[in-house]
Amino acid sequence: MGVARESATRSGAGPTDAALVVSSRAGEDWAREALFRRHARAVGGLAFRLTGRDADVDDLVQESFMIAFERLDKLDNPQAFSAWLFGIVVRRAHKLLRRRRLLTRLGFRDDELDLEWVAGSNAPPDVVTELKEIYGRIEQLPATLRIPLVLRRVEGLQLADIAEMTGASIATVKRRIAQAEETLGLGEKRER
Amino acid sequence: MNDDRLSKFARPRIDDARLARQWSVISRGRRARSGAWMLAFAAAAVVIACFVTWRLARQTPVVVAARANVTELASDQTGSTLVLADGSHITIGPSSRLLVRETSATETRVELVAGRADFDVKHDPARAFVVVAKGVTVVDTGTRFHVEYTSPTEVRVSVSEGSVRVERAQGAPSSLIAGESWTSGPAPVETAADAGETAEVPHDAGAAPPRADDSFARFSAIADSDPAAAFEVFGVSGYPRAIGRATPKQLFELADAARLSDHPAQAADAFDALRSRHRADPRAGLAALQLARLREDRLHDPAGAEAALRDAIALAPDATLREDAEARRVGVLEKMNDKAGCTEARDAYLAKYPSGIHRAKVEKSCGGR
Repeated sequence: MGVARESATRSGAGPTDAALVVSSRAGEDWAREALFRRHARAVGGLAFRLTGRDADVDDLVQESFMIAFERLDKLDNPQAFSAWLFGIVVRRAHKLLRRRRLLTRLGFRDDELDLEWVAGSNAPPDVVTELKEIYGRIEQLPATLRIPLVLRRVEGLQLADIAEMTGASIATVKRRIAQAEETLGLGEKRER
Repeated sequence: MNDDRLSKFARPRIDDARLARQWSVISRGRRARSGAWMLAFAAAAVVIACFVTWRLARQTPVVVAARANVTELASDQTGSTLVLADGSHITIGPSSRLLVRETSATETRVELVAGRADFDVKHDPARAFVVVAKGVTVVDTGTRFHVEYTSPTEVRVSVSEGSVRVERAQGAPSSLIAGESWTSGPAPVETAADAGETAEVPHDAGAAPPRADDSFARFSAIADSDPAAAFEVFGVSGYPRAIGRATPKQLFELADAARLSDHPAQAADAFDALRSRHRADPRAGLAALQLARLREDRLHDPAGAEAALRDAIALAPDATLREDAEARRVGVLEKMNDKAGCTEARDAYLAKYPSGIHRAKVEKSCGGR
């Protein structure tokens, strides 16, 4: 599974996310920076895979952390900081994709997805093929279908996690993934 | 596949310098909006470049301001003419102002702010042409018509060719055909500040004037990130009033916030208001479908769901949404034990979508084929 299960402390050392959240709420800037540094790469990776463009990553990372820090007081379970943060990223990405799709449809924005960029140079051939298969056609999907598809097929998240991140029911998530796969002709590889 | 194999190899290059730049922006408490601003300006440019193609027929209207989704135009003392990309003509009267707003692939929306304008609309069934003036909504159904402020609070619509439908937030819509005209009657002075979208609130005599407050601004600011908190901006008791004065966009936000915060009845009310009050809005079809889902899944009202699904099928702007609605309707009719209706709907779906994504499920409905 991907981003949603990033451990709070990869090495087991250092304060937990919950401790950092509590300190951040108390106005400790170091704690905020620690939270940022702990999760920024995962957030950037998720933003990259959702949007498919490196140029969108910085905006999404910055906006997501800004929103998270503004709303930290409302987080019920501080230990769930990362899942909550990734939900924010997904919602911001959804907005960005909708806006981008509208502009593209109007013929204004035509920056092509760089498929060579999506798959890292160290990726095995079968992974490159699969990523290209998905990202090569993903632009035709609306955000409501694209995001569940990426969360499922690229991030490898469970349906329940996707439902929580997107604010939809599990049934809706399943339907959207199926619809996205059908649209992209990926149906034959769909999990049953 | 169901692991994170792909995500491991699809990563951006994030080095320490990049992290430092990101943190610098975050720690200063300022969102990096370069991309967003670029998009906003781009959207404004698109509105101008794609939908408003100037022709120097007589005088060219002046672009007063352009925001993300709104272009404001004004004419001089002799009037102006502009031609939209679809071939429709708008002749703006002397000293008049209008906004081209909320333009999308399925709708052109123009708001007459002052003065008068003649519209010669190239009818496109896939694209609604809507004129709004002081709470009066004129929906083109293929026509040439005129909208005018006869006083600061009164709007007159007259049709010289074809037909239009005139809607207000309250009361039944009126249809006008060539040679007919309609006057709104005096209305209270509008006080709500333009917060990016003008509320289509009723201005009937006796109705309370809209009150300017920042509830919707507060609501919209957090609706995405915290639906439960957004819902509490109005609360259960305040939702009916909020629904009553919301724009189509706000209705959708109200519905989503209620839905996501586990208030299905309020969500259903907001979707219902959107699909019944703003039938020309491109979101109306989706609102009807969402309403049907809520009625079926959360409110246990299959008959109400079925009615909403029929509406969704009629209003749906795209085939995917329509197909979903038609498939769901088969299931609802089955729940209602309407054997004949279910069979008819099932057979219609299978004939219409021989390789539809819901085919397998629909085939098994109503006792199977």
